[in-house]
Amino acid sequence: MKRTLPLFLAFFFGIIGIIVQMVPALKGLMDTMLDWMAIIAAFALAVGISSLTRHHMTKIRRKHKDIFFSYVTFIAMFFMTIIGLVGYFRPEGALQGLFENMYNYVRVPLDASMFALLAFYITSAAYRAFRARTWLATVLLLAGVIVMIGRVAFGPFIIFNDITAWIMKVPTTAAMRAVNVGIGLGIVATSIKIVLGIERSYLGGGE
Amino acid sequence: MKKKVFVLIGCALFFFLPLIFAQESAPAEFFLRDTPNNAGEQVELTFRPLASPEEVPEFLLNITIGEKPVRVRRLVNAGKPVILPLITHQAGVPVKVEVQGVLPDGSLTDLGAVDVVSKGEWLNMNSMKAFILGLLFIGLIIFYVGRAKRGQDLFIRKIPGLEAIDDALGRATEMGRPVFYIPGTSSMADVATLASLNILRPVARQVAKYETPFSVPVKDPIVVSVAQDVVKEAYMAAGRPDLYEDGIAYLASMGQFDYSGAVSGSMVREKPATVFLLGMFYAESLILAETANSVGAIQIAGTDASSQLPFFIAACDYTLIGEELYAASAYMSREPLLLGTLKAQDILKGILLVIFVLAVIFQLLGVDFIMDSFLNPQW
Amino acid sequence: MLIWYTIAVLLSLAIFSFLWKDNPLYKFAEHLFVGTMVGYQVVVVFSQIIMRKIVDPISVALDNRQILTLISLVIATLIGLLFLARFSRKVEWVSRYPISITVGFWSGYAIVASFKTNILTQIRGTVVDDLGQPLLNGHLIGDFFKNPSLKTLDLATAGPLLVFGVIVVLVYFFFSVKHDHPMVKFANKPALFYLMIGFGASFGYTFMGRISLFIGRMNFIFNEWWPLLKQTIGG
Repeated sequence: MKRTLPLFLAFFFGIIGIIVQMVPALKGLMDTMLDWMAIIAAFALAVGISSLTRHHMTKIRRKHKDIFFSYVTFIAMFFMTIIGLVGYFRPEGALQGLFENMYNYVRVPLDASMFALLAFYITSAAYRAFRARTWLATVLLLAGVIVMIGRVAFGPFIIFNDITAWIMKVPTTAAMRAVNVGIGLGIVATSIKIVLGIERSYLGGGE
Repeated sequence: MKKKVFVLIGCALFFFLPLIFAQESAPAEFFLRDTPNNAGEQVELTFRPLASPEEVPEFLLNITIGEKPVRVRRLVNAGKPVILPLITHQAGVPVKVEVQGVLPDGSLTDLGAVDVVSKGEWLNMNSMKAFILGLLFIGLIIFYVGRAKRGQDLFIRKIPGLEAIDDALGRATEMGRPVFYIPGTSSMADVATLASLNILRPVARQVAKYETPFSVPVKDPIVVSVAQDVVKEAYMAAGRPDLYEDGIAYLASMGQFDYSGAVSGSMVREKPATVFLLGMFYAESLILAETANSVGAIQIAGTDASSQLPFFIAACDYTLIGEELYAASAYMSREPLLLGTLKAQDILKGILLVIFVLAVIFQLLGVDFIMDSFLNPQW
Repeated sequence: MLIWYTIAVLLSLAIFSFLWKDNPLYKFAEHLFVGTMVGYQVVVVFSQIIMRKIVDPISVALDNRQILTLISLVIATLIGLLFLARFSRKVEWVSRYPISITVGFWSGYAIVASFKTNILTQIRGTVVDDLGQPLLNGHLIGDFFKNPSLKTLDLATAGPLLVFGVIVVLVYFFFSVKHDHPMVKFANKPALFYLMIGFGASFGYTFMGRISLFIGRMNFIFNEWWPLLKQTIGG
């Protein structure tokens, strides 16, 4: 029951996953299965929240120096959940407006700013790649610089534009294609191992 | 002799027949067919104008799908054939298309009508090819697993990123700093996440043996459950269940950038000596890799997201490229079952490579055999 | 409105302060971010899945007496509920059922999908181009010799170079071939060359896009918030 049934379930649902794609007539079953996956995942949320809560509760219990910030997380989480749920049942109420504002002026700018940090990280990563002194790193960097210039080239530099187009069309496509074929094989191999029960790490592994 | 004559006559007929029919050429030829390999949710109209745009500048298509009212579509004659998909939503819906030509003076001529009933297929022939390859793969796996079990040594080349794992963990132990393991930022729907969790096991076991602090921040609730199980069993296998706590693998957050913000924060505060970034990543890959670098950690990265590989290659000490990520669990465990599948994977790749080279050569010679049979998306 | 805009600007600055060093402002923004996002996810899961995929369809199925739909929904819900077994040490292992169902289904699902998109489509695309013309095209090479120019050279060599690249990179990643095997030895250098050009080019290609993200944030501060602030204070 503890080991065999999960392996059987993985096998059974793995076969369903294969069949729904092979038999177009079973499109209805495919939609049902996708719904099932969404429903099952929804309940895992409870596990996730309890894990997050425990993580911060441990900090609070151990009187970690960042105890205040763990409270910030809790308050924000409960506040957002409550106004969101009340707003869902009373879409015209003030709380729904508050929920939308929290989304637009707290979540969105935080998201966008974190994303924008990439501008700095990509620069520092490029700088470090620049210092590496192997021929491989040089090739990487050279291709990178040419494409960077090529994307904004004007006037006499327009030649970089053509070189960029060629680099993207020939060597880049070739490398990415071969890498993707390998990835495809890796995905298929791992999936088959899981469906056949050869790979069982996801059950904790072992016997 | 007689045979030859028949063949000659047959050939002649074959070549001349089209000419005979071509004499009374219509302004356009068109046919409706059920789109193959689906559940009957669409049919398609192939329309080939034969008259020049000067003779017939436009065509009118009167389309009737099931019970719905007639819909009129204008088709400008561009002298090129077009394929129009018509959505029926389900199998068993009759579709009728009446075609009229609009002459330069604005008058209409009827060109006839075609009809078809949408139908669903039982087998998607495209997927059948995948299925056949899958069966071949399973056969190869069984064969090579058998060989590996009989004790035949299967050679696997060195993968630097995986060779480095032991040293990287040892370094963390010596420095007395924690190890971070980030199993990607996707859900179970990505096989890369599973591949990563397969690597988590040997890593966690080693960490438990060395008594190094360990942290596995996760983004997806199901992945948290699995990661907790994997870490727990690994600590038990290492004989250190006393060191295990549920908080080792925890949900750090649930969105892309809040997760990377939270994990970056933890990295800066806890200063890990080694950071694993294995699994599926999106734009946040570089935030995590660069923050790890800024605290002086060795980063061992690996992903099958080809768009994020460049960033890992540029920013990380070791990178598992694409399929190396999937090979890792076999490589590290050295179990005959897993090594056998790795060998089978190589053989299948070899077969595909041969098919590919043959297809290229055949194409060069003008023979479409492999293209049409094996690589044709419409089979 | 100004208050919300100001909150947005302050939070953005708090995030950027992380580049200088870890500080209480960033910690606040980070923890606030985690809290709001998780709370938001709870609301999304509740409204999009619990209500829309479970409660609503069940009540519809009850009204229309669609027994099969009803059974399917109830089973899915019960399987999902098994996750809650994790909260008890004794029956924790029951949560392996929903896990193995999820893992099994997605693995099976991935097999056919990646065979098609990752393998067959990619190989096909390397034999013929989008228009069905072979990539190794004798005519194009002939054209180059008849009329040598950069353009015809490009047309003539692009296909062969692409095919060559795909083959050497595929060979490079073989796991079970010894590295002194002549085929692998031959493919090694060119494959690395292709890979590094490819990765470098992708890096450069994304670079400008990432820089513009930061410009976008600055734009918000200086072109949206600042005028609003001036307008409000100035009356």
